Amino acid sequence: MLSKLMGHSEEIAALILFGIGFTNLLLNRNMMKKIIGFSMMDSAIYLFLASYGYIDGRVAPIIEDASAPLEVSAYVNPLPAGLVLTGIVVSVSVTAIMLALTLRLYKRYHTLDIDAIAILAREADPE
Amino acid sequence: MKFWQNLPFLLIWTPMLLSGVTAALKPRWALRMALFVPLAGTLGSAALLLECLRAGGSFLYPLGEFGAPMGNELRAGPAEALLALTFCAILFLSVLGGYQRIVAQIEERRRGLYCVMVLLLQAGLMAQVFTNDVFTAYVFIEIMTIAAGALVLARNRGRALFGATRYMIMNLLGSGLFLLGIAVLYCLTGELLMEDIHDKLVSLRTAGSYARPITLSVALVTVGLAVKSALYPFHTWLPDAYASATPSSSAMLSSLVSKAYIFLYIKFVLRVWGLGLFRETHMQAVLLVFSFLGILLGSIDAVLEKRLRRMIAYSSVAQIGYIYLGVALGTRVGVAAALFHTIAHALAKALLFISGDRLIGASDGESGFHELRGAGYRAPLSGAAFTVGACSIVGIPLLGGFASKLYLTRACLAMSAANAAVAVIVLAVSTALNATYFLTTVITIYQKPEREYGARLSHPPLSTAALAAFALLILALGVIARPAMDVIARGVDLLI
Repeated sequence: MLSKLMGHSEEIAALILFGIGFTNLLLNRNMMKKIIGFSMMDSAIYLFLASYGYIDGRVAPIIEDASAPLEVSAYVNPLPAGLVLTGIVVSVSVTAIMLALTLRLYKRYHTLDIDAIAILAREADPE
Repeated sequence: MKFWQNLPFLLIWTPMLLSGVTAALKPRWALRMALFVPLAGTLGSAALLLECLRAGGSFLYPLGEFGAPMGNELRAGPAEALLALTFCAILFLSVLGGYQRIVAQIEERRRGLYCVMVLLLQAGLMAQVFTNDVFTAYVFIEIMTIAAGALVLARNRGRALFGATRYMIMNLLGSGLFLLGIAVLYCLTGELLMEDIHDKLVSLRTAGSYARPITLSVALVTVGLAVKSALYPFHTWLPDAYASATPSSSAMLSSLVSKAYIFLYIKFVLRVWGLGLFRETHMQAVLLVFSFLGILLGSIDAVLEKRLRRMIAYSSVAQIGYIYLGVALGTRVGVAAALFHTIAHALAKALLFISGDRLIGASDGESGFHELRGAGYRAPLSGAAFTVGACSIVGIPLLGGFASKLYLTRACLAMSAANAAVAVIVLAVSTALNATYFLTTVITIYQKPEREYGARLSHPPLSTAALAAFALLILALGVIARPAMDVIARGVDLLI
């Protein structure tokens, strides 16, 4: 059992990190820590995908000599890496928009605590 | 390949490209762009629907040079085309109906960007409808999340800022779960295209392997999309976001964004997992319980609410419950009823948000119910439009909402006797609750006012025309319910 688990250490680490990030994004009251949680959550999934796409001893399928016979078993599947790259771009833009949002909240309410912001927003504006 | 088969691609790509152009335009022209592009989308998807019905089938559209296993694909059939038509038409009418409020509530320097976000939202909606690739669906989910968050945020008001923050946080949790779900699915099957995943899942199931990871991925995708489409109990972000945004944004968010996620979920149920796996993982039973809770508790929240826009927002929670109920039945008839209700509710909810805002505008901007008395006399056309929308949601015959509740009930009766009894009782109780809060509101706006009201907003004729168009579409959907249902049923058959 233990050796079976050890063989999947990256996946297990990824799931634990996902849990930590998810909990932070959901429960932490501080906006900055929420954003850190979001980054952890997304990075954990990329770790999960990247470790799935990596096979020991194989290389990325970049073919330099087109005339040589093609040895498929020497290469890894490039798709997981492509997914990770796309995912990183997506999470960078989402992080940027969340940071901009936090900045605007801070300028208006002078706090990063989402619960305090909720009270202030409801007081100022009942609907 | 015929030329019209390029339409799904053009419907996604054109708004995407033009959103970049719009960013460089002056606000006045950007607003025209935000009207023109959804209108063009409406015409394009109407043409696609006609051609799909004439050809009588669905087709796959490969993107780029690479073929099926590596490359990306779009897919279109009657169901997709009908949904695309509904989405584009509602987007156009929402911008048109709330045009004046966009100009009044959004600062000039933000107005251009608002229009960019409308176009990005259109591209995202079309991509959810047509994509055949689960990772593309994820990328466009995030684009839609950003666009929708910005549409709430555009109104520079504390409550809107807070609403957008909560919206973003909950939606990011949802997309995280969805992404993990499809990552697990990809690791199990090694495929990203919907029918390829389905084939691999079928062979994994017959071999009896990986039962638990499959259940995990089904659960992750379900919860992820349920959070994003505000199924009870994941709806906590909804009232703040819907009630604080400018009326056009509220209409788009409630009628389009959550519906696109539901349609994506329906595609997962029918095309990725198949109805067999959906039932086997018991996700169907879980969804059934959540939808019952949503229908009842969402309605109770709406009854207790004292402010018009928040009440309309809570009523969305109940209506989303109805749609998920149809999906959770796990039958073709149920899914078809869910799609019909999606369309009926999308039309009615956009109408309610826009006409409700005009009623509030005629009551010195006060949204409490005692202040709304007599609003129906001060703004007669808005009052009439609100009445049509409210009656459709309650389910008065001849309107779209009546037909959809009828189909939903009929689909529920196909369950085992005990479940069907529970479902029919839940539907009956919630219809009574719907009538309580919506018809009370309609009576309120035609009561004698308690005081004099100040100058009312004048509305441009185009905005009134948008309200009339919504009301006519709701009426038309009720009158031609059977042909519409035939198209949906054929589309659902083709999706499987």
